[in-house]
Amino acid sequence: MRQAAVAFVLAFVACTPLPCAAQESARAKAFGGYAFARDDDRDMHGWNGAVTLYVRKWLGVSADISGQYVALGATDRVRFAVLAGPRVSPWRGRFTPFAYAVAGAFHTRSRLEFLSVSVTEEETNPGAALGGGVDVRVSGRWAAEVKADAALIRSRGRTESNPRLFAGLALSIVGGR
Amino acid sequence: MLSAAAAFLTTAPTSAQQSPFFSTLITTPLTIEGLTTDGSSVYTIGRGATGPCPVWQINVGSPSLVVVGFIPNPCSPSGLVFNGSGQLFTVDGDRIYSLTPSAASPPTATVFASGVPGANGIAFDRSGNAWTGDGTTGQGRVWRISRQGSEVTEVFRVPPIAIETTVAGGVGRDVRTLPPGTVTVTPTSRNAADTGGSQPLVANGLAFDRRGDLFIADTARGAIWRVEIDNRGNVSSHTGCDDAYAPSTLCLETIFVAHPLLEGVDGIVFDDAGNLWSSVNERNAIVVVTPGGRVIEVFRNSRDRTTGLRNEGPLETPTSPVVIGKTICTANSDGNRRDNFPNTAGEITPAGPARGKISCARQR
Repeated sequence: MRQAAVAFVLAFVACTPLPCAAQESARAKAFGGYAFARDDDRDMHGWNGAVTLYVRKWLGVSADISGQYVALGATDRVRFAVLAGPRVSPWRGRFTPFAYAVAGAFHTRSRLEFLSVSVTEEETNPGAALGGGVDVRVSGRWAAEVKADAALIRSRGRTESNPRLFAGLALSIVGGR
Repeated sequence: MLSAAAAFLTTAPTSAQQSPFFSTLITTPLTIEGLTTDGSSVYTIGRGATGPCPVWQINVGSPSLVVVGFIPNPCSPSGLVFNGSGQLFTVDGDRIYSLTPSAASPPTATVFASGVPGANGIAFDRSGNAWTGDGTTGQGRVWRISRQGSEVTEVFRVPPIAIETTVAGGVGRDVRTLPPGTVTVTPTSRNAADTGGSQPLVANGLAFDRRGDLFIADTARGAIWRVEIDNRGNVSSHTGCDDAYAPSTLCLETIFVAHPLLEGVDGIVFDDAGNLWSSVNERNAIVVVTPGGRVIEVFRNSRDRTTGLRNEGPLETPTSPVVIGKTICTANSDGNRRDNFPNTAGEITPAGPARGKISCARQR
């Protein structure tokens, strides 16, 4: 928890807007790609999609959804996250670093199947994610994006911190700022 | 290994026609109770030997009894578990033994700690401390043993079923198991006919979850307690709610689940998903408790239509479960009570030659 907060503060400071920074004109950006999450020493794999609307050259608002899956013996588990929050970039150019803080809900569904028993258990918990990453423009409106964060999930009276890693492609949807 | 286990489990003789799911991995010439795993093999200890009690390693893909150590005679060990360093620990009487298993040169276990009367289950916390409960002594004491075994501390108590007071015979309840106890059934009453079958055991199997909470099987109540333990090994859960008990006694709110399916719950173990698997010895059943507290019976012996009993197997007093991937195994001690009474039926019997067994099932 404390490590995640420190990482976010450092990323936020590093991404404070620079007046002389190069700018790019996209007003919105869509991301889709692979997602990895570490949940209590267990590796989960899945997908992530996000849309960012820029309200300032350096400030956007992101909506982020993701799903990760893991098979644990006789149990299959999936965790979905629906999160939203600010995303800041010190500049926007060929390399665009960014930091974000998003909050929302994590929904976990576990299905145990053993012999004739099949039981599904679900829980929805509040949570947040603090992190950052970088966009690298590869062609026209397309960029490669990697990002990492710490997901903080409040579950059964405790807060769990789970690292997540994402990699995929980002598309600048609207140009001409 | 898992594929090998699967191959065995689907080709091994099914021990009871009424259940195609649990089958016998191996039988043992001595009774057994505890069972643990190193991830590829299971380990158990023969009880009631004339000499030292053998520690057996059984490869689940190619099962045979391989002696990897001994417990000094006299011995009747119950729970056993590995610590993080590959040392095997077992409890016996008021002592905890440890050894490093070796098939090439089976060692004799040495006393790791003592002063834990009735010790039954055993588990290790995140800090490497061992924990055990007082079993059939029935006082509900739970001890923490330091990594070196030098400090044995009674940390808390599970509320006993009955307590000593100025009232002769105590105050509380007496959970009794039929058989060996009996009741006189009439159209208007079902009163005790004798004093047999008393079940005072409230601190039986132990297991830690990934968060570090300690779970305890309460055999008498049919319950699982969840005790929050801090990083120093101290109890965070509430204690001392009722001054009829010792001050360190857990409050009833610490019960995680209580359910009739858990009557007679014995050994417990977590799988990777956080489900708590239990061998319910008095009901010849395997019951799982989900992280959210749902209690589900995975398997119970079928009832014989002729005798009305459930003592034919495949389970015969299941005592201690292990989870290896999608495979669940349990030790069977063939007790002579409740669903397994009389224990002369089934694959294992008190007179042998097979007196204990390990049963497994695998999710297909």
